[in-house]
Amino acid sequence: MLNLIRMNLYSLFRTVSFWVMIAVTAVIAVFFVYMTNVDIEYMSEENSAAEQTAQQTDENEITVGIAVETLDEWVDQGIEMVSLFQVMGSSAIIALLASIFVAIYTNAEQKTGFIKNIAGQLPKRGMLSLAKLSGIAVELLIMFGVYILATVISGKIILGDKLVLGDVGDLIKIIAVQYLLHLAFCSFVQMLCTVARGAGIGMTVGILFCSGMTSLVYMGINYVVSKLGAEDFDVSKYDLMTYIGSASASDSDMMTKCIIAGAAYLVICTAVSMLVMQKRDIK
Amino acid sequence: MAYILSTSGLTKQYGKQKAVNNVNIHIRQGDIYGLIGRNGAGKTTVLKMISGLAAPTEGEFTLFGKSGREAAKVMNRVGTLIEAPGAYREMSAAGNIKLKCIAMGVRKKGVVEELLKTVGLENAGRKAVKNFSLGMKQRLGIALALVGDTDLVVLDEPINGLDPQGIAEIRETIERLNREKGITFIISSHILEELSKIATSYGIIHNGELLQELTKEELMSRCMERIELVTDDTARAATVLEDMGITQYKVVDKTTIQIYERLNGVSDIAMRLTESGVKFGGISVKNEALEDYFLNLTGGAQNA
Repeated sequence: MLNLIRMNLYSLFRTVSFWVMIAVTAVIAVFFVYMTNVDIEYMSEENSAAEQTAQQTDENEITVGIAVETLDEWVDQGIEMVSLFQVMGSSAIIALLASIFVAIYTNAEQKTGFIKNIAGQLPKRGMLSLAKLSGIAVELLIMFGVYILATVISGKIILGDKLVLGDVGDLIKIIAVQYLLHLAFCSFVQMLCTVARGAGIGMTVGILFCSGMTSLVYMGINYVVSKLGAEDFDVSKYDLMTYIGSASASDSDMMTKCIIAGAAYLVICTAVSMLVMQKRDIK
Repeated sequence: MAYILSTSGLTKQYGKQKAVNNVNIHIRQGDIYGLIGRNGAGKTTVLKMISGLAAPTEGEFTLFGKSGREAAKVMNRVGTLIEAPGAYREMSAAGNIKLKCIAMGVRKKGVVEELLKTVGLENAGRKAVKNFSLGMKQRLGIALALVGDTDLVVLDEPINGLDPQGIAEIRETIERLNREKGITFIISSHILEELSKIATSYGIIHNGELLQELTKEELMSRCMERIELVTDDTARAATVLEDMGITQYKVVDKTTIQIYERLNGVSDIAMRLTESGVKFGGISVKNEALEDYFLNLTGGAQNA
């Protein structure tokens, strides 16, 4: 198993898509900080803008596409790292980048045929999926690190004193929970790629989830289920993206739900990937 | 006799279709075993099963004396090159070999360079695999198959698409590894004449069934001997043969007759033809080509 993990890490750092994703992550972090600054300046100048933004925010509104929110309190109270990170989570931008990478990375051995060199020689082939997840976990960790680093550096340059560290405990909590949720989402995309034997479906589904396109499907599902009698049913409660978007360091109940959902997704999706890899013939 | 690999009723079924049906293969230590069959005969499926890449629907195989779950423990002694060499296109040959070395836990110093030298890729340097010729890719595939303590190497159509020089290089590499390191090879191919240059035993597979398994010597002896007569007048020559009581002959074309009996009576036949005034360009004993033998066994050229 350790050998397979080492192999995955060796190939990870030699994968072009890995470096591209890291670079894009850094660029997006800087862009996010820059746009936040533009929004804050705009909101400071136009007093009504903040109110207008607040009025436009509706709990039942469905967001389709990638959007990064600028919070009203950032105008007067400065920007705490923890809230900046929570907003990043709700935008699902890291999840989007990670899902694209996971689809490419998971499928690489199938696509190149390299898997045929090793799969037959392993007593437990399912370990290939677990080892692949370890590579994904490292990649995600680096993405998080790069995102935070790029945010801090560009924040200090662009936002200056407006960016403050805030509660370190809350920051660590939100980073840890978001990491778990993102890793769980990656394992979900990995499972789709493994089952479908290709990057296409995993990547497409990943993008659809991250961009909120599934909300339209959920509306339909909720409508059908409510007609069947379960009026309180909401399928989005079982969607990992809901938790990624809702995780908040100040809401301990939500944080607990996030940990449970993340762990459940991670275990189930990894188990399915391993089982499929173990039982199915290599093509 | 102890076999390094033997299969027992190996069967693979996809839906209602049996791709491989009740195949019993026997491979001895040091063999270069040629698995012959036309495209779609089931060669790759057999090789995938004995390489651990596909699970048999029925039957099992014994590898290095181990069978069932125990066989999985010795699979690391089997190197494979199935269908096409599987390598990361952006990486170098050395990078790909190192990757497999890491996966297999091979930490011996200089092993990558040694393998590159073994297959003649020591000068490939940092060149990415995507820029390799087909021959170079095949040799890299063999190098990847050799990583670890490989005692058995499974090569699926290793000379497909190669030019004559590339074929000769692969052949030379296989022969050298077999001779110097005692590595046993299973090689599938439908290019029979090439396979016959290196194989020491054969399995002939057709429509998923193993029709015959024989050593090189047995195959050579079974390749039917015949007298080949070249003449411009096949009709008169045939009359003379029938007058001599020869009935097992075949007029192959306008100038050639093949005679399958009285193989020691070439001079008698030649004399009778001369006495009868039949001019002939040549008469000699010949063996049937491997390809013809294969075609006859598998139902003729229309099936090939």
